[in-house]
Amino acid sequence: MSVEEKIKAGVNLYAVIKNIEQLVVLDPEIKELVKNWKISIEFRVKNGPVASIRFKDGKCEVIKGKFRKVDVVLFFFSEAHLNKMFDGNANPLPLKGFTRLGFLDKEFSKVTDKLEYYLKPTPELLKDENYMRINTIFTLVTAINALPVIMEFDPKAKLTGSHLTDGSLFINVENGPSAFVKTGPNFLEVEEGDSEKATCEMTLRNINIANQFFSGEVDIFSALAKQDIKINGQTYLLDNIGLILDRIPIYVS
Amino acid sequence: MKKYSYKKSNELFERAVEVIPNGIYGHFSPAPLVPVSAYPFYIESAEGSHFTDVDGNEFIDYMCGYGPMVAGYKNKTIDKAVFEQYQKVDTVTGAPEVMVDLAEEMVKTISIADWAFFAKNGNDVTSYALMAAREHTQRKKIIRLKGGYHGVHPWTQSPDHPGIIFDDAKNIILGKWNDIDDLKRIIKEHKNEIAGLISTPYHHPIFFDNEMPHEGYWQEVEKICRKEGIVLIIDEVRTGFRIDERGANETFGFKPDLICFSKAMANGYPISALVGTNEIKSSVSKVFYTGSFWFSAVPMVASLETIKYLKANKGVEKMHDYGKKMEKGLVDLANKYGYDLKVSGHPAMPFYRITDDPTTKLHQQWCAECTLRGAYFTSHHNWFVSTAHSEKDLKLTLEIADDAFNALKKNN
Ligand SMILES: Cc1ncc(COP(=O)(O)O)c(C=O)c1O
Repeated sequence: MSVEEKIKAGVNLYAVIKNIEQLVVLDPEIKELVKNWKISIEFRVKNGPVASIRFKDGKCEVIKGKFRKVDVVLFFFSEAHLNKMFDGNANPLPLKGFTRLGFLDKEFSKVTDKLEYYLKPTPELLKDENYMRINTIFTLVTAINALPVIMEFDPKAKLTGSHLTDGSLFINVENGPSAFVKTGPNFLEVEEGDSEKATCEMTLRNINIANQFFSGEVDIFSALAKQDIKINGQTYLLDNIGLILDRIPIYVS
Repeated sequence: MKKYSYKKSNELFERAVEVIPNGIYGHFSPAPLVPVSAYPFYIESAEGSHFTDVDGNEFIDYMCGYGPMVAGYKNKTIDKAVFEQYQKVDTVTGAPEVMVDLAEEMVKTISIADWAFFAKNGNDVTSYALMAAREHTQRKKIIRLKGGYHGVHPWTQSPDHPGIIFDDAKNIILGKWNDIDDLKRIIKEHKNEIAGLISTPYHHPIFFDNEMPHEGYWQEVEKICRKEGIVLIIDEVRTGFRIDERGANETFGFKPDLICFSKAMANGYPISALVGTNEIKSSVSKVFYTGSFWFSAVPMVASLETIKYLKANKGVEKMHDYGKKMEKGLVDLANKYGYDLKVSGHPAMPFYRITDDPTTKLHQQWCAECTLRGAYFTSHHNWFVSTAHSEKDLKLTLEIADDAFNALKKNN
């Protein structure tokens, strides 16, 4: 299996669908839709990554790996197969939960359609402030959760991973979302955390800057000089995380 | 104390990003300055140990252009000769007379030097040294040490960086500073494959404490290189003419085959040099290496005068003494405010760090507060002193540092 397919699959499973946790909070239509859902779905790639999603009490939780109890298992023969499904060009093989297939087709697809809508902006859509906010949050969540995947499989990012030191990075968008990443040699994990706990901090001036930054459209050196982005602490950590972030667009369009 | 602001610097930067990649790129990029708002970007003029930015703020310069300035900006003795040369010729169809004078002066001054070769930037000669080592040994691998900086050519960078490919590092082996066992391991694994070892005379990485060689380290490295036929290359681009004008190896008691100089050798005029022993001269001569501006006369005159000036004025001693006094003054002040200020490296290019906060946020704040008051301190890089730094500068620096510690205490 090619590195490209492995990374795409990892990003799809661990980063893209992670956004559904926020989608059910931020989008009123989806919030209403999932209000009474009680279902868990497992995505399983043969000899590959596994991720699971659970809807309960109007909330959504996405994890790496499996829940103890699961209602539906969707099986994929390969990473490529999974990626094709995410591109809308293939169907999974249901291993469990045949009675829920209708639900997946009609109801769950509304969630994934909406997710795609927020993740694929057009200049027109970005003019809408609310859309832009959600798109930024999703781009941040996707990027941050893609980091460990990129580091595992991309040869350059793997080398960068070996240069990481023990520390943590707090990324904060003023009046917007934030994220916390813990690091160590060959180690990178998204965690809960705040500025107090972080050894390195990065603050983005506003949601506009954040949107451009996480979609790879900002030249970071200039942004730092213009104070659109501010950093402090162990900034060499950010140099390395920046190198891994830079690798994302190579695999994710 | 009044704090500076940088309106015009920022306006210029806005214009710059439109027409220059990164606005200001490389080591002068404002990106590693924390917070950026405490630092000027554009400089209007300089004299002695001071520079004035485009907003009219005057600073005592503790970066000295990141090393090149060593005898004071607009040094009268050096610049007199420089301007005379300007009147005669700079770049022309042939080599200038002063090139021979400068080579002779370097051979006379630098203990191991039997010859000198001139280029422009430090990286020109670090790369040339590699080629020479490969030609001399007919081997392909080079050892460089982790955290060492030798420029920006692909071989000097880690292949995870943009624009660099894994093939660029195929024949580069990363060793560890001050670690003889590691060196022995590498040599064992690559028996008869290693052409050269390149290292700075002491370890001066950015962000981290600088490290002097352990007792006996260089003697052991030299012995191993001799035994294994490895060319020993010392990169003195940063340390050159600040630690020991005979070569820092004299301070540390060993003899390399090649030494790279640039930065301070001409007090800010653009020139670099590779010097070496007669044993390697014919190999060096075989490697075709040149550049359009490498024969320009003005920087050669500047270099000749700088070296003479430093020797005549006991430059190395002066910088050492200033560095030591500053160290004592700053450490005492830190203690007064209850901070531990650690100083590493050589007094002429010390690396400072407030150890109370391992995230370096405190140290960044203090350096920024000093800069905002007129003592230009970076938090990520070693500083530089020059022969132009005076008692008056020291006094003002300590006053600024005092006020900055006071602000630090209040803000934390
Ligand atoms: C130790 C060392 N080697 C080499 C270089 C590269 O010199 P240059 O930037 O002139 O090419 C530098 C520059 O900072 C340096 O400090």
